[in-house]
Amino acid sequence: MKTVPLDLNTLAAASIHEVKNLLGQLTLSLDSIAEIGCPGAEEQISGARFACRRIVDRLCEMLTLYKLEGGHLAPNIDAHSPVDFLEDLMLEARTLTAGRFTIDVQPDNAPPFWFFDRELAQSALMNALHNALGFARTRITLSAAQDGDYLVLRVSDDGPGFPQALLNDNFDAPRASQQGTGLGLYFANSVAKVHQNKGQVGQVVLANNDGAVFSLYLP
Amino acid sequence: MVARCRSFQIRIMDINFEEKRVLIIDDVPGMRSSMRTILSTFGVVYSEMAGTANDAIRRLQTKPYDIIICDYFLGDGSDGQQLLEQLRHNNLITLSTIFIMVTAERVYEKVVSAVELAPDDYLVKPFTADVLKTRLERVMLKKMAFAPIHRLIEGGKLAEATQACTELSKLNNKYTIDVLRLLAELHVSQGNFEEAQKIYQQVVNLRAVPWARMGLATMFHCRGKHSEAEELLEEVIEEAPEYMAAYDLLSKVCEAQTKTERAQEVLTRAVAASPYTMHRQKEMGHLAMRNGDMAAAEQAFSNVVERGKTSFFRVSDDFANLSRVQMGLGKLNEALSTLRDARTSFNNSPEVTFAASVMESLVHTQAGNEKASAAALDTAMHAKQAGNLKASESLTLDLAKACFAHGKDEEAKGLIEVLVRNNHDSLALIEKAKKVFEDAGKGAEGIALVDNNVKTIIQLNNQGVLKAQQGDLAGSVQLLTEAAEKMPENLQIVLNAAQALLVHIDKLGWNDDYMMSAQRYLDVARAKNATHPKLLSISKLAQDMAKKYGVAA
Repeated sequence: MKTVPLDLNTLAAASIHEVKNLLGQLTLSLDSIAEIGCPGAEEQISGARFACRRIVDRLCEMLTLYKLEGGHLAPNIDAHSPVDFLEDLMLEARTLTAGRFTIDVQPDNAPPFWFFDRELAQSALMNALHNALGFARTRITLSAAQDGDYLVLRVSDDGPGFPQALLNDNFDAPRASQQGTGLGLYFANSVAKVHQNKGQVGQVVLANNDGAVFSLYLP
Repeated sequence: MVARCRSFQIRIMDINFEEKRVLIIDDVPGMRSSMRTILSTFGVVYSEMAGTANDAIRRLQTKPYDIIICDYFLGDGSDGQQLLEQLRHNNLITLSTIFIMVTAERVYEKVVSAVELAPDDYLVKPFTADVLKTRLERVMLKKMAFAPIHRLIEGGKLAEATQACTELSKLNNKYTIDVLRLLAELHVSQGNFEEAQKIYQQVVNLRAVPWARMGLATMFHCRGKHSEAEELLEEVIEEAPEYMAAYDLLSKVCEAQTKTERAQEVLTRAVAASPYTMHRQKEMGHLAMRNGDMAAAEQAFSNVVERGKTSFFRVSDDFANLSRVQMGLGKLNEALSTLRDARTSFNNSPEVTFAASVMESLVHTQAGNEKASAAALDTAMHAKQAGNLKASESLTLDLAKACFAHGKDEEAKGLIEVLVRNNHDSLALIEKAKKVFEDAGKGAEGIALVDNNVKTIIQLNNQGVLKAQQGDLAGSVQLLTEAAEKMPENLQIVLNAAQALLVHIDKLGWNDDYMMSAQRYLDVARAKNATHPKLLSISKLAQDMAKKYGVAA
């Protein structure tokens, strides 16, 4: 029998995958423990869920990036309701904040439906949300609106805002940073760029406006 | 923790999950029970669990469920999408049943965007109880929005459903694209391909989503525009080689242009990528047989039989197909063994006894075992008569072959005659029928008999239509209904008979019996080929008549 040379990338991808699924099961168990009710341990359980979620999100990103680098990432575009999308995102945000922040949702300027990859867009925004959770003071706002030929999905917070270096970045390469934001933004920008329609390409725009404003533009 | 937003506070209704019957399908026991726990957190009390597709089917056969939550990977090579299609095609779930697919990775998203039959939603693991609950509520609201249309469809009132759907499509809301998709499907089911094509094109113009492009290609194919279909499908496959449905359709398009070798080539690629999809394997077997590629045909049919052994949807034809190929390859012992397996697998049911005996008779003849062959033919004839069994085209032709081999020429001719009369417009069948005569050394006689029968039917049809045109409506009805009773499977005849009856009603007044017969013929036609172009106009005529005379259709 011929031995196939071990491809470390593939091995890594498979391992990430397995770990991600195990964490998924762990999250489910934590959910059920929380339901049964453990007096005094609520905070710990909620912390564990938060940690699980962050690891899972990070692993998902790595897998997606791996596929992207290999040219395997084609978006699965279909019609979705941006309002429903925000509602899902809010539920995710709610499990993560564990009551520490107020979450505002502004879907009023959203079109009734839009064509985009729901799961990819969610990963990109979860990333922005993780960031916002690290920097917001009291409030995080999620919004959706139509801006010309684009749907704009936005996460803003009332924290100190993005550092100037990030505002100048065009996210063309992953940059490691203390907080890990660089990799996340690179990922979000990759997600934006696979969204293309009639010659227009999606993009990530960062701005500061009484806090950090992360915008994902999808054509 | 406050979440403030006007539109989210207005929950249109509180859904009572206590009344809902839920079926959880997952091959991992741990996942099944966690899912059950999650469901119980928002009030689901009635949930059952199934570990395999067959287990799920067994449960669905005995009672209905409101919600099905199914993992995409079901182990042993079967998957949730196949299960969904089987359930829908066998009417084990209704349009109001909620079907949610759960998947551990992005693989399923690729599948779902191109399939004809999509689940109501899909969720990527891991997800929280809140997310599942929200998604379920959302699907329920959507089902409520579609309920009036679903009721019309399930009541067979397709024209009214189409009208309601068209109205709904004028609203611009979050269901717009789903409404358009359903509307296109409704047009297709009534044979109204041009309208369906327009709608798919409308969606493609908004965004070239895979299912709309597939729909468009299907409409090109149905309207005989094969090169347009081919071009579009090549494009789809190049952009997304993982859309298996595109290969199936491209193969059909090639076959329609008699490029059967290319058709097989296309299907081979799809089979390699997804070897467990049985309808594709069957198609592959038939195509390979047509191309004389017996090795590939044997491979495909034996896959079908192997997997079928554990499936609810196996049919004795699968075994007959395999034995036919094995016989063609001269593997007579294997063929006999396949037929023994068939008898066991179907517990010696009358159908399998008949099918297996027909094939055994042919195998024994080829082996030079005259006596065993005659005995098998006897058994087959008895089983057919006793059970009043219907046989597939291939099996009928094989039975005719066996009859010829034993000098039962009259029986053979009779079988072929009936088959030809019921399918006089199928060129492929006519050729096969003539071949049976040729192989029996009665080529000239066979050609004359087959051609004569085809001619008779065409003349009969023309006479009936001519009588109606000349104003002899009663004569037209008599001629065509007599023909339809004799050839209940012949679509053209049956549809013309329905038309004659309805025209009679239109011109000469209401007649209960005529209307009932017309409806019966339409049902027969619908069951045989729901997309026959004439079916649409005649169904519409029936509705118009009911309306004209103020009778509920």
